[in-house]
Amino acid sequence: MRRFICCALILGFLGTAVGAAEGASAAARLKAATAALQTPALTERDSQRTKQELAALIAAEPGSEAGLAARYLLGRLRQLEDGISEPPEFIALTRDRPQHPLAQLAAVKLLLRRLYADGIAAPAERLRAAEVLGKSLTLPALRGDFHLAMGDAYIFYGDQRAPALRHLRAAEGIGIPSAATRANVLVQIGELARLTGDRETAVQSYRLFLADYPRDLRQQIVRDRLAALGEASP
Amino acid sequence: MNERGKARLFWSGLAVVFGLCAWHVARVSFKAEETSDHRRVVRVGHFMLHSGIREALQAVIDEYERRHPDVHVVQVAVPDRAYPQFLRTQLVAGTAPDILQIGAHFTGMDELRARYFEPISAWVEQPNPYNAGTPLAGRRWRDTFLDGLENGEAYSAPLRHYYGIPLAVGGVRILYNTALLRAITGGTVLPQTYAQLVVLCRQVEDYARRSAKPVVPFAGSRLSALFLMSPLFASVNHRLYYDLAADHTLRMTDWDYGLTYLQGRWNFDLPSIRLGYELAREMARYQKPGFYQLNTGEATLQFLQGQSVMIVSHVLDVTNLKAQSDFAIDAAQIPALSPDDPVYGAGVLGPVTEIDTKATANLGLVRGAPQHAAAVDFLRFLGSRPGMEIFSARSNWLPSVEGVAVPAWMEPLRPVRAGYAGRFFAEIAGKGDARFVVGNQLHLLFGPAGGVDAFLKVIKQSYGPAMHIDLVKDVRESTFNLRRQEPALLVSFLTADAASIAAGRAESDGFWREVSSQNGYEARMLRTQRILSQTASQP
Repeated sequence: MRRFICCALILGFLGTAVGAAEGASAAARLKAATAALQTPALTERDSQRTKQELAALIAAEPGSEAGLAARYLLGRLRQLEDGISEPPEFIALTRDRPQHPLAQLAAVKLLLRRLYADGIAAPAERLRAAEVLGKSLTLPALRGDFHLAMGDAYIFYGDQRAPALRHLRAAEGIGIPSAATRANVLVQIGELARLTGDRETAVQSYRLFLADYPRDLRQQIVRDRLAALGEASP
Repeated sequence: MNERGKARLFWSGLAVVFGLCAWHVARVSFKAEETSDHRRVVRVGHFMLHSGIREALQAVIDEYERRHPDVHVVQVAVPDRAYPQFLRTQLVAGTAPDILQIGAHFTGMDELRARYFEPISAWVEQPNPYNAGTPLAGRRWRDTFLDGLENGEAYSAPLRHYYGIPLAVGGVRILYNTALLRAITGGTVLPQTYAQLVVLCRQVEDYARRSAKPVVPFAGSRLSALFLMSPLFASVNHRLYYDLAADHTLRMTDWDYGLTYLQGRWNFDLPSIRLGYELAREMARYQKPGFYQLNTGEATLQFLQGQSVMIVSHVLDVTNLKAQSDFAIDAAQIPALSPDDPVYGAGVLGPVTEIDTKATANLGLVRGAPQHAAAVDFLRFLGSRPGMEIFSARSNWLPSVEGVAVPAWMEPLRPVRAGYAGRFFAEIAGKGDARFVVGNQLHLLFGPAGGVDAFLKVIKQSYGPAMHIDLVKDVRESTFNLRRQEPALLVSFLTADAASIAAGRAESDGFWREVSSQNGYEARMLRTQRILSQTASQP
């Protein structure tokens, strides 16, 4: 069956591939759907058909791993292709299986949209909603992403330095995998701590930045900041 | 056999002999893995045809062959215009040299790298044995390069692997005709400050008038003018740059200039922006009228013919210029503005840093190279301190490896580490539509009948709408990229180790690392979208 689906995809018979997958296991159907979505010549019609297939898969096996993965994928397609900020698949996934890794990831995607998606919610309301959603996150990588998103959001909505600093320090504490992002966060922590009067944290973060990113364009300005705090540069 | 038959036989025989010879030459040049004396042949394909570079590379090869008598390294030098086609056809046909130069700007380079180049990450994470006995001994190989291999040719961000070993460091400098400078000023050293540079330019104009010689201060072209003006414009706007970085990162991304403009946080009437353009116009005065329509080759010709004292040039072009000129050429940094400059100093913090200058001319290892081990070993030698000392001494290119000595005249070519961000002018021009809006009107700024007011009057009308279009396109493209990543990310989730998924830690690689990267990208895109919708109703 798998070979047949692959051949159909290679030959460009997307409908045939997805159709063939209908009689297969849930895992094979999901695989066919993901392969179909990666086809370079994907049309609007193909995409609709794949969404229908994912919806059928969810209905057939709502609690299986394949069913949960299908729910996540369909939710993402609704966000990215249809512009639906809070797709029902994500709401169901985060409600029914909140500890599942894909449900946690869906929560982050919902959180980002609660922070920034078009709507009439006031900044304070957006931030509050995101904080509430963030409480459900337990996986370290996603908690780190949550803290980064919140740190930036508190700055974006009115330069609220104290909560932004708290979140960015939490993200650094968990560990930031991207070197470029971590360099930004160390500078942000230094700046926010300096501006809120936490000299010790500012100095520590500036020093860490200077040591870990010796080729960064901000070396001089961060050295200036240290000097202004009465500290010698390393 | 009649005469005709004999002639036919003769020509057929000759054709067969010719064919055999041609086959032999081709085999040696393109396929041979061994010479007749049984040495292994490593082939290196590149497009570094600048004067003296092939000779410099050959000097490294000669030393390598002396150390490894069983290896013969052959250069396959290809003109730069033909190189992209050469690269693709040779790789696809499976006839590529063992080592090939990488051009990050080539169309589809990441796809080529993914399919046909072998990552060298494992080697660059280890010490380079050829650095033994030098101060670099024991250090991770990639840390021995001045840029840490953080350049787009050596490292592929999408593929997250290292692929190239760089031969030189880039940058921009003023090159000057030392004899002409002496004739005009009596000295041989360029001034250190911008104010002194303006005085020098006036001296040159005065000299040209007195001697009736067609000499101007700078040989101008579109590119060299931007090289000259960009860091000076950035200096004038240093304080503005850091003020605009409202997210407390002390840096602006390429798109932040447009976003902050749309948010009304800067405009073309700000004193430092106007001053920056006034400075650009002042520098334009010291180049031939119409310079902005000229290309680099035309500016080079002016300089080589003694019609200008200075040219602002990429440092890799120094070798070419020195080889073609019949006068001594020296190099100097673009004179810096200082905060106490009476005209331009208000927004200046200090010089512009070049700390993140990237290395260039990267050579990569071809996947399945016939002489894989020898090719890796040769790259290690080339990218070691002893190898780079040989290459740099003969090429006049700034060495990419730390601690390699250069002659005194090359010292001013080295990147300046201290200083502040120098990225404003280029980004003001934006990308896409906004770049054309600004770039197409620069004649109003530089032309004798134009001026800052004439220029700004036009771009104030068109920059905002153009930037809005560019940012909308960026959001659309980002959404498309996210959508394209999604099925691959799910496959990565389904095939990942269950324990690592459950642990949920974003290590240096793996599913959660990808997720983290995507979340950051998506947050930026959504923020941009929010700013666009907040500012859509504004003029």
